[in-house]
Amino acid sequence: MGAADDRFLQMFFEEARELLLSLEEGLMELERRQGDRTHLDKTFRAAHSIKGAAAMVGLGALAEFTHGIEAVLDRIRSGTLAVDSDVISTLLEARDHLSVAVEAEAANSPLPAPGDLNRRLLSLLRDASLPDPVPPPSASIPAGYPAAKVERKKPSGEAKSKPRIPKSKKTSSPMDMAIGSFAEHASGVGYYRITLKPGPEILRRGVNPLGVLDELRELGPTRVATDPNLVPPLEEMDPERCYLVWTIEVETDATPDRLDDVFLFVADDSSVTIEKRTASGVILPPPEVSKPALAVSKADKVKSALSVPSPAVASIEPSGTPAHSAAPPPPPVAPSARPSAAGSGGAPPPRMSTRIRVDAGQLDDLVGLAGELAVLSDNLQGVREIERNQPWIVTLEALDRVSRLIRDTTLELRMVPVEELFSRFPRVVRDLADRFGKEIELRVVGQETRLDRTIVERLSDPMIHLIRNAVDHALETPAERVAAGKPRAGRITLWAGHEGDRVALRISDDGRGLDRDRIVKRGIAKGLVPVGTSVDDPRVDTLIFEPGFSTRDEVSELSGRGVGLDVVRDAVRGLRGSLAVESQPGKGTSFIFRLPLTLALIDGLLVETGGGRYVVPLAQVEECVALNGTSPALSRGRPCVSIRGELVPMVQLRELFQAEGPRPVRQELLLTRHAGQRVGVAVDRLLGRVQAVIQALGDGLTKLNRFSGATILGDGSVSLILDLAALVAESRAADNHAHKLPAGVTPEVYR
Amino acid sequence: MGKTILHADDSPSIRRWVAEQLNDAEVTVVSVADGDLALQAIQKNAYDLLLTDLEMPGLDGLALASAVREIPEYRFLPILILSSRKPAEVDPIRRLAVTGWIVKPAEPEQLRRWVRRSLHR
Repeated sequence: MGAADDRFLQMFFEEARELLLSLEEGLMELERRQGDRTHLDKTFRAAHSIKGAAAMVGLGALAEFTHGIEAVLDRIRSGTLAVDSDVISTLLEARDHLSVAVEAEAANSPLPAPGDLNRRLLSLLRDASLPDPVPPPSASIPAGYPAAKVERKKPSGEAKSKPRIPKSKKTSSPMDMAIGSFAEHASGVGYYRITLKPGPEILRRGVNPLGVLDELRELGPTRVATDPNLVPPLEEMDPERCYLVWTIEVETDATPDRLDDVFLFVADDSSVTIEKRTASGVILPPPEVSKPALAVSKADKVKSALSVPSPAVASIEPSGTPAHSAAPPPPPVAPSARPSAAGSGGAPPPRMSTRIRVDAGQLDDLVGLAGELAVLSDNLQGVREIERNQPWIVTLEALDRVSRLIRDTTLELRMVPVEELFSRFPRVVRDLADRFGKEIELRVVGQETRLDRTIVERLSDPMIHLIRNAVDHALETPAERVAAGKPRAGRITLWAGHEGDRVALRISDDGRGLDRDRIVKRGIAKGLVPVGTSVDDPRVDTLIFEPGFSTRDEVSELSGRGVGLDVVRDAVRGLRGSLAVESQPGKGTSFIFRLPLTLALIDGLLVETGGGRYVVPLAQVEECVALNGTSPALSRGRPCVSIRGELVPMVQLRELFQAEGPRPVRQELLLTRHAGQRVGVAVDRLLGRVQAVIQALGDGLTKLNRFSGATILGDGSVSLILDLAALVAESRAADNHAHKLPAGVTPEVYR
Repeated sequence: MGKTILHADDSPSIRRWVAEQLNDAEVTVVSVADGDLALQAIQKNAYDLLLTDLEMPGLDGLALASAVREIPEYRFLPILILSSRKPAEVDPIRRLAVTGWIVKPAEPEQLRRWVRRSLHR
C-alpha cells in the first residue's frame, strides 16, 4: 500500500496547492466583500478541504494547523468575529505558513509548528464575546477526533484521542481498542444485557435495526427477544415505522468501545441501554456506554425533534441552499465509471467544471505527436495529384482535416487562462503596498485570456518583478500624489488580450513615468548610446533592458527602473516573446509583454543557406528584402546595406556557418530587430512559410545558441530552427550603435 | 450481486482514497465533485448507498441528503456522511435524513465496515 500512499500524497499536494491559491484569493477579497456569504463560504471551504484531505492522507500536523485557520473563518462566518485587516493579515500569514509547510511535507522534511502563529490564531478564537468559544485548534485537532460518532465517556476512550496515522491501518484502531480492553476488563469475557428501542423514524433514515442484531451476533453468542405485541393491528400500522423493542443478551470479549460501535447508526434517535454483568451475575449500573455525547439519546428529547413534519424538507435551512447552485450543468456521470473516475471528476471548488489531470510531460508528447501527424498528413496530400489515387481523395481530405483538428485541439489543451497568473498578484500588491507605505488599487482586465501553460508558469516571476518596481518606485506616496493633483491611491492595471496572433500582457501604473534625462545620462556614461543622444530617441526606453545598465545602488535614483530588467527581458525572450515599455512623464509607465499563444508551434520561414534548410520564426522577421548582388558597404568596419536609405548592419549566414561554394548572385535579407536596432541576416533563398511543431534539441545540442529547436518538415526531413536574435548577438553586428534609428519606431526587443 | 455507491466530495484526493478503499468485486464507487452533480447522478441511475461530504460547492451534504430522501425510490436509501465535522456540530433537525456519520480522518477498515453494514452485506 506504500505506492498507493505515495499517490494519495502527491494528489494531496497538488490539490493543496490549488486550494491554497483559492484560500489566498478568498482572504484577499474578504475585507472588501464583507457580507458576501457565497464568497465567505468558498474561502472557508478551501481551508476546510485542505484540513480534511490532510487528515485523510495522514498529515495530522498540517490538518491541525489548518484547523486553526478554518476555525477563525468559521467564527467570521457565524458573525462572532469581525473582519479587519489585522485578522486578514494573521490569516494570510497562516496561509503562507501552511503553504510552506505543505511544500516542506512534499519535500519530506516537515516543519515544526509555528508557535507564534498558532498563538495568534488562538487569540482570534479566544477573545470571543460568546460564552462558549470555539475550542482552540489544539483541543479539537481533526486527527484527534473520535473516529466515529459515539464518544467514549470512559478514560479508556482516551487512547482514541492520540493522533494516529491512518496509513498504518492494520495497527491503529484495533490496537487502540485492545489497549482499552485490557485496562477496562482484565477478566476478558463480559456478559451484557442490551435493550434497543429504535426511534420511530429510524427506518426513514435508511437504518435497518436488524443490522445491529447481526453485528451483535458477530461479537459472541447472543439471545435476542422481542415482544410482538408492540406491533399494532395491521389496519393501524404504519409500515414505515419501527414498533419493536429488542432485548439482547450477549456474551463477548469485545471492549465497550467496540460495543458502542454497534449502535453507531441508531444511537442518534434510539434508546439503547447496556448493562454489564460480572461473571457472578451482578448487574453493574447501566448506561455509561449508551450515551453518545453528540446527541439526544433520551427518547423524549428525540420526540420533540421529530415532531417537525416531513423532516427532510423542514430541515433545510436557508443557508443550506447556496446561492451558486445554478452552476452550469456538468456532464452526466457514467455509473459504470470505475474508481479512477474518482480522481478525474475534480475541479477545485472555484472553477466548477469537470477536469482531468494529466501529466504535463505526456501532454507535451501528445502535442508533438499531433504535430507530426499533421505534417505526415500534409505529405500524403501529394499523392492526390496521381491519377489512379482519385478514389482516395475524399479520405485524404478527411485525414487532413482530422489531423489538423487533432493538432489544434491538443494545442488547446495546453492553454490556461491568465487568471491563474493574475490571481497571485492582488496579494503581492497588497503586501508590497503595506511595506512601502503606498496606497494602491489593483485592476485586472481580461484575465480569461488563454495562454500556453508553460508561459503562464514562467511569467510569474518577471511580472512580480515589474509589479514590485511599480509599487516601490514608479508610484508616488499618497502625499506626493495629492500634491501632484492625482488621486491618493496609485493604480496598477494588469491587462491581458489578443494582439493579432499574439497575446499581450500589460502592466501599467499611473506613477511618475521613466526619468529619461537620467536614463540618457546613464546610457552615455555606460557607453550604451552615443554622446549627444536626444532624450526623445526611442532607444532610450529600451536602455533600461540592457544588462548592467543599472545596479542596485541606482535604484532610487532612477525610480528603480532598470533593476534587473534584463533578467525580465531574457525570461520573456526565452518564451519567444517580446518586452516593450511605454512611458509618459508624470502619467505613468506600461510594460507590455507580447507572447506567442503557444510554445509548441511556430509560424516560420523556411530558408536555405549553403545547401542547408532552416526554419526562422516568423515573429523574429520584420521584413524580407532582396539583395541583388551588390557588395555591402562597410560602416565602421562592419558590412551594412542600405534599405530605403537606412543603413542596416548585416550578418551573412553563409559566413557564420562557413558554407563552401560561391555565394548566389541573388540573396534574401531577413530584417530583424536587435536591441532596438534593425539588423539584416542574409540567406541564400526563401523557400516559403511553414508551420512547425517545435521539438526540443537533445542535451548535446542545447549549448548551440544559434538553434532554438528542431522540426520535421513536410517531406519528413529534419530542419533546425534558427534563433535570429542569438545569431545577431553572436555576430556582434549590432554592437555598434552608430547607425541612426528611424524615428517613430516603437522600441521593442524581439526574439 | 454488485452494489453501486455514489460518493460526493470536493476533494480529489479524498474521492480517490474512498474509491480505493471501497472498490472491490462487488462494490463500484461512482464519485462526483459536488452536491449538485450527486443529485443529478442519483436521479439518473440507481444507487445502493450515498456517501457524502458536508461542505461542498453547490448543494451541501445535508441538503443533498434531504433532497435524495424526497425521491420516492430513495426513501430508505442508506446515506452516510463522511466529514471532518462531528455530528454534534450540526443541528439535529438537519441530520434527520442521515443514516450514519463517519468523522474524517477515518480508518479504511472503519469506512469499509460502515459501508458493509449499510449495504447489508
